Amino acid sequence: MFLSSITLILQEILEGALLISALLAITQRVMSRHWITAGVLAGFMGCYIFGDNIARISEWFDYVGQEVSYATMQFGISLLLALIAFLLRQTTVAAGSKNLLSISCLAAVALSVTREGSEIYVYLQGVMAHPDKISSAFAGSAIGAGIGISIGILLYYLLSGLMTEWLKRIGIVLLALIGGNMCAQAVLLLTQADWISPTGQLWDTSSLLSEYSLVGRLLYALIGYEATPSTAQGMGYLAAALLILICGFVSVKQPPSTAPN
Amino acid sequence: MLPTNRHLQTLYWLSLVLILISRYSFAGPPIIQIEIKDHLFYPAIVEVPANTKVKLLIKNLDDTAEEFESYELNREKVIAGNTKGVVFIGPLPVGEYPFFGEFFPKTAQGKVIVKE
Repeated sequence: MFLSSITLILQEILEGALLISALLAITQRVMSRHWITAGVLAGFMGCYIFGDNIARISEWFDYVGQEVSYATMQFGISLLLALIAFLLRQTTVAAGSKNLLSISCLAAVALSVTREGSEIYVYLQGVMAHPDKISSAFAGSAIGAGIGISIGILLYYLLSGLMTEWLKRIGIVLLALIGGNMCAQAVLLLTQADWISPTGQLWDTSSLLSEYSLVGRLLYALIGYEATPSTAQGMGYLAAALLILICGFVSVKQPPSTAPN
Repeated sequence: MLPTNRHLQTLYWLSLVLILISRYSFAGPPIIQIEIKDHLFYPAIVEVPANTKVKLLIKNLDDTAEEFESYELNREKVIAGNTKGVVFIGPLPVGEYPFFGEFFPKTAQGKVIVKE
C-alpha cells in the first residue's frame, strides 16, 4: 500500500505540478500571480464535486461518462494552452490581454487540478474504508505529493533562471509538450469509450522503456510517454503540440493601415 | 442548384436517422463481464477473440472504488464502489495483456488472453 500510493499520487500530482510551474514561470515577468490561488481553489472544489459524484457521472452516455468528461477537460486544457501561447507571443502583453491571459491560466489550472485531484479524492476515500491501511497509504501519499511538488518547484526555479527571451521560447515548447500530452490522453479516453474508432499501434518500445519502470512513469507524467501508443493518440499529440507552437511562435503580420474599408 | 435551407434540413434529419439506425440495428461488440470482489478480479483470466473489438463490463461489488488499469491495453478507469463501468478494448493481436487494480495492486490482478 505504501509504495503503490507513492507512485499513484506522484503520477497524478506531477502532471498538475508541471503545468502550474510552467505557467507560473512564463507569466511571472508579465503579470501578477493572483490567478494561481483562485485556480487551485477552483480545482479543489472541482475535484470534490467530481470525485463525490463519480458514480453518477460514470453512468452518463451509456457508462462512459467518466471518459467523456475527462477528455473534455483535457481538450479544454490543450486549447487554453494554445490561447496562452498566443497571448504570450508578443514581447509586451497589452493590458486588455492580461485579463484574458490570467483567466486562461486560472481555468487551465482549475481543470488540471480537477482532473488529477478527483482520482486522488476517490482513491483516498477508498482507503478510509480500510482502517488498517490508512496510515501507510496516507504516508505514501504525502511522500508522493512531496516529491511531485518538489519537482514542480525545481522546474519553476530552473525556468526562472533563464533570460526573458529564452524563458518565453522554452516555456512555449514546454506548453506544447504538456498540451500534446493532454490531447493524446483525451483521444485515448475517447477510444476507450468507443467514441473514436480504434486505430493501429504506432510503435512498441515496451522492451526499451517499460511503463512499469519509474523512469517510464515519470516520462508518462512529464511528456506523455507511452510504450504502445495508437496512431490516433500520436496524431492528437502532434496536432495539439503544433497548434500551441504555431500560436506561440508564428508572428502575425500587421494588416496594412491603408486597407480599403 | 445551390442547397437551400430545406435541403440542408432534410439532409440533417436523414443523417441523424442513419446514425441512429447504425448505432442500434447492428449487434454491438461482444460483451465480457468482470467482477471485482474483495479487491480481486473474477474471472482473473479473460479470453477474447483476436482482431475484435470487445466491450468489458466491469462490476465493482466492493464498497470502495477501484481503478482498472493496464499498460499493455492502454486502459485506465475508476470504477466507484457498487457501480459498473464499461471499457472498450481491441481489436488486438494474439497475446497476453495483464491488467490490475491500481488502488489495490497487490491483490487485484488479471489478464486478457487474446486467441485466434
